[in-house]
Amino acid sequence: MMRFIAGRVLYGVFTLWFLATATFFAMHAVPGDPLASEKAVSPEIRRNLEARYGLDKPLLTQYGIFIGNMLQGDFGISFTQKNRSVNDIIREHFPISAQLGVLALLWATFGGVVFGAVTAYYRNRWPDYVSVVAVIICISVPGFVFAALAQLAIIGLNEAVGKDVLPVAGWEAGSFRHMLVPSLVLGLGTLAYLTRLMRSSMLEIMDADFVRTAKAKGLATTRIFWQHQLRNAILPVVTVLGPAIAGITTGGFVVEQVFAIPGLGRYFVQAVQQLDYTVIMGTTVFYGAFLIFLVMLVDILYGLIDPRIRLAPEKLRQKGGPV
Amino acid sequence: MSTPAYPHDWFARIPAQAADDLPVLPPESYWQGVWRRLRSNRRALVAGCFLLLVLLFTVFGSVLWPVDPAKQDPGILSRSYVASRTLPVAFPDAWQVPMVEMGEPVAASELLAPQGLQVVSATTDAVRLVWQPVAGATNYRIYRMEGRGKGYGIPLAVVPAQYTGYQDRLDVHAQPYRYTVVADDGVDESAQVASLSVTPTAVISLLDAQLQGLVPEDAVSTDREWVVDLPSHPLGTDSLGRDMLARLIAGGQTSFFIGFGAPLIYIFIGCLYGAFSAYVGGRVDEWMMRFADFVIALPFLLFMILLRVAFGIGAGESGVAALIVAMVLLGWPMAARLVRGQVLQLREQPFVSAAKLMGAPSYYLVWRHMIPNVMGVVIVSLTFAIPGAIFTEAFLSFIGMGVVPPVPSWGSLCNDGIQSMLVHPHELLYPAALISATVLAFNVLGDGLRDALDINLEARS
Amino acid sequence: MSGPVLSIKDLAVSFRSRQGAVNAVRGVDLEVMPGETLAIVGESGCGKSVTMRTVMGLLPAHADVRSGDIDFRGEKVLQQNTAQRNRWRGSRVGMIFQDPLSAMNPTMRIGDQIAEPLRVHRGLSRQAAQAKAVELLEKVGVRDAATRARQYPNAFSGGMLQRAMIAMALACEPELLIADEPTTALDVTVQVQVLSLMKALQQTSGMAIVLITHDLGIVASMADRVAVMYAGQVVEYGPVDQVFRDSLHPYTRALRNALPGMHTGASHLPSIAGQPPDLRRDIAGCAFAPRCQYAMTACHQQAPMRQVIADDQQHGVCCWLHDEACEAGRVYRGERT
Repeated sequence: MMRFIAGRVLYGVFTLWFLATATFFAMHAVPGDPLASEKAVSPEIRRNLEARYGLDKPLLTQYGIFIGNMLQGDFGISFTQKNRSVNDIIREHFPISAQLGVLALLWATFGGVVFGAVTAYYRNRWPDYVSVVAVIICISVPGFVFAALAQLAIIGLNEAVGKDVLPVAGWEAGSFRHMLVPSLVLGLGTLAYLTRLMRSSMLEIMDADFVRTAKAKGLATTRIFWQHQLRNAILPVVTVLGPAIAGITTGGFVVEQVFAIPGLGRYFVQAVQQLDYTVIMGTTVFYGAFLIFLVMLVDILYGLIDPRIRLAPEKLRQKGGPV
Repeated sequence: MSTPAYPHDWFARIPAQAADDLPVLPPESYWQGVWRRLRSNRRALVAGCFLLLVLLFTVFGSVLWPVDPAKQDPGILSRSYVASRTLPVAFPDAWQVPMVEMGEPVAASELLAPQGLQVVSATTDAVRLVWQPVAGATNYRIYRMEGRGKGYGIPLAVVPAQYTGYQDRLDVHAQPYRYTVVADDGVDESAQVASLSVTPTAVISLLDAQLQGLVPEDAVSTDREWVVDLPSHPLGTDSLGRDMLARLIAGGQTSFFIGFGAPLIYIFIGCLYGAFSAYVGGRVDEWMMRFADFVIALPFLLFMILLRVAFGIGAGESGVAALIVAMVLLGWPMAARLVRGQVLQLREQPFVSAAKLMGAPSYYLVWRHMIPNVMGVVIVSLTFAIPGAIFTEAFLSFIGMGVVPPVPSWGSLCNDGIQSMLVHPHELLYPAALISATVLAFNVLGDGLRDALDINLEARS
Repeated sequence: MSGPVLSIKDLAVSFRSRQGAVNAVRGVDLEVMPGETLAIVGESGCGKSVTMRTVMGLLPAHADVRSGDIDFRGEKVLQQNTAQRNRWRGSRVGMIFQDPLSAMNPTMRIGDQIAEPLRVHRGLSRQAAQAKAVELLEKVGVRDAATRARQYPNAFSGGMLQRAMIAMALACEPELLIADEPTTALDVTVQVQVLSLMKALQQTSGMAIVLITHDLGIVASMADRVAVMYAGQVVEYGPVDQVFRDSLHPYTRALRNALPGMHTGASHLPSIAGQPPDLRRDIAGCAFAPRCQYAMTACHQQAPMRQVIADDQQHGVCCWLHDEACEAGRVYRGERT
């Protein structure tokens, strides 16, 4: 087991290094070298940048400086926002994205597991048909459309009730009302995907030989469900948790935009649109590290649940996910 | 013991029937079977027909609806439906707002309503009002109400008292308005008001007509009466007055070009990579697959954005090529994995071993056994990759990282539409519905194809 | 206790399918006496597994029990709901299956799986059940049982797993063990070990065994009595030696002849011509008639009644050839040439 964990950690570190390197060279590949162009960069920031990134030095030296800074957790300063370091931006806005994302992930996993199991039990009856149709619709409709529809629905609701039941957009620290709809919208696609996955794996498990054995042992239906079916049926759900987290993280870019939530995703998109290169580099590496870390955690978790994986780790990657 | 009475030939021997009378199904090839199973799946069939329609719509739409998707008509911004119409051209003329000599301000105890409020002319180019001066007025305030609502409506202007007329050019449409003119003494408004209702006639301003090339640059109003024909906009216009239908068609072309182009390329590359890896085997195979796994594990959209930024967009580029290259760079490993797995599995199949034992040449093995069997999974993964690519394009265009304006795509149309979603929902609704329905149809068709290609599924049920 | 442990009367089970109902079991009568081993043999699809799964209440959702009565020591099985069945299922009746690897929960330790019936039926504590599980594993011949109990099924070989399955089924010392092709998935050498283990355990506990198999060799070495099934019906039953020596039904004879013996040599492997009948259709006469070289008009018209042949009422057959009025039957039995 220790070897397995060590392998995953090493793999994660390597991926992160690749991501950082790719980010660095991608930024330097941008036509017309933005770090050399003068527009929109005040002389003050310019001097700062030159000192920090050694812009006059050869590429490899710059790369060394970049990696060194990353290792120290220093992501640099913003191109467009004066006196604001990328670390500040992340520190300030990431917690908002994280709150939203965690809530969305909770909706998605609990909803997916519960709906999936329920629809499998009602196979070929109306709850099953309804959910199958709902799932394929939710998988096929882009997140921003749901976000827009949700906003329209909130407006309709508020008008019908005659007061602001839910805010149409915006964010207040610690306010569940502001989080509720955006997180639901954010989790919806993943929820649908997980429901589908859980349903098919539950159907498979319900006919599995070992469930028949459990019945023959005279176990009560509830015990069979909790002890034998759920644990095995949930395995494929755990495998796609990594991609699901990635999907929710990137989905946050859109949802934060539509609902005007000051999360890191919104700033990332803004930076990308304004070509704020230091913020792009910093947040990309940060997001990358975050995702890689979580995927690694999920892999290790999966190894703990399923004894077969520890013996043959290559099985882990054979299942695809959303995104 | 009593013996039951049996018919006389009850115990006569009947020769054993070796042949069974089970109905023999007519022989069908694998692909005939796939087609039969797919046809019997009504949902997949409907989805397929719908996709065909959408494809025809985007490919031949621009022939049937030859409207320039980039042409702007500032006269009709964000309308949900515009009928075709013939409009006179309104030439600018030198209308002067009437003025009066200002005497000493009279301190009137009460300001009266302006008398004689009337319309000089009312077109969608301009609505002109005049009225009689009011004693003691410092300013006149003009309000405009759409339709027959209560109250004054929106405040249009505050006019100094020496002017006794007003020209309204603020987004005037051919619909009823009620104008209200109120005098004020510099501090308070009078309670006495004058109102009148008017419905402007539709015209097109000379500038607009010239911008759209409907009227020559040197047109003079004295030549003749200028009248232009304007096309209809069955699905309305966007916030720049561009025809939605034409933009949806053009957007569909972009979305489908990316949606088909990228997956076709990367699945082809993936097939070659996977087949080569499986063919070579051993160490090389192991490292090649490790690399594929590594690319799969990269955060996909993050890298898409990164690559898209790195490629940059030069002047006059649409960004489509950059998107496709980025998708190809990140998309191939899934297909590679799949094909490699299939080939490895097939190689161990008894029928392949049997063919080898019978001395089948390797091109025959590949042609007869490998390709038909791998084809199935490749087609299925293609039907799922296409909506995936359309989705990715929409996502990137939505956050402004996709195609570059003015090139439309369904994603960028949604991005445009969401700004004015609350006021003009049609601008978001149409492209969003098209993306959703198309992706839905691909998903349903993909499910159907997967089931149809699975020859064992039928036997199991 | 006297009287049968298990008695099945006129059981009929059908499966709903898109092409209509499949009548998998079409009127089966069986009795299992205490302490005996009853083997049920027949080709795959003849209904032997379905019959025993009906006893255990393990039929899939699309199966219907059309008629019949099953009595296990006074428990009217078919009238019981799941909770009532669970009072005896796994404790007084144990069952083992064909493929032990898929029949074990892959994410649960072997010891926990064996301990589960003990905890549920006997109310043992976790530790006590675990200790008992280790003991059981030792009893079925698993070495280093304490370590083995903490392992997962994927660490076990097929033979070891089947031993663990047996330990699990016998945990509560049942009166009846149903073994559904317990050795089909195993190597031949391992088959012998598992079978002799079952036999040894039967001798110490005195339980009855129903052994479902298509291997006549296993029947001969293991069983006291045998029931031969064809197309959802029992066509012949009786003590093993009688059934094999004096096979009454043409199908039993064909089965016996299909065994590659020492003397037949490799040049000719005899088989039974034709296919089993399509169970979706109504079968008017004897189901075997289309493949039977002795078939008569009667066989195609009407199903034969059960004839009890031996003096001790033990050996029975369903075949027109054994009808008193049938002349051809005398030739068949060798009474006349």
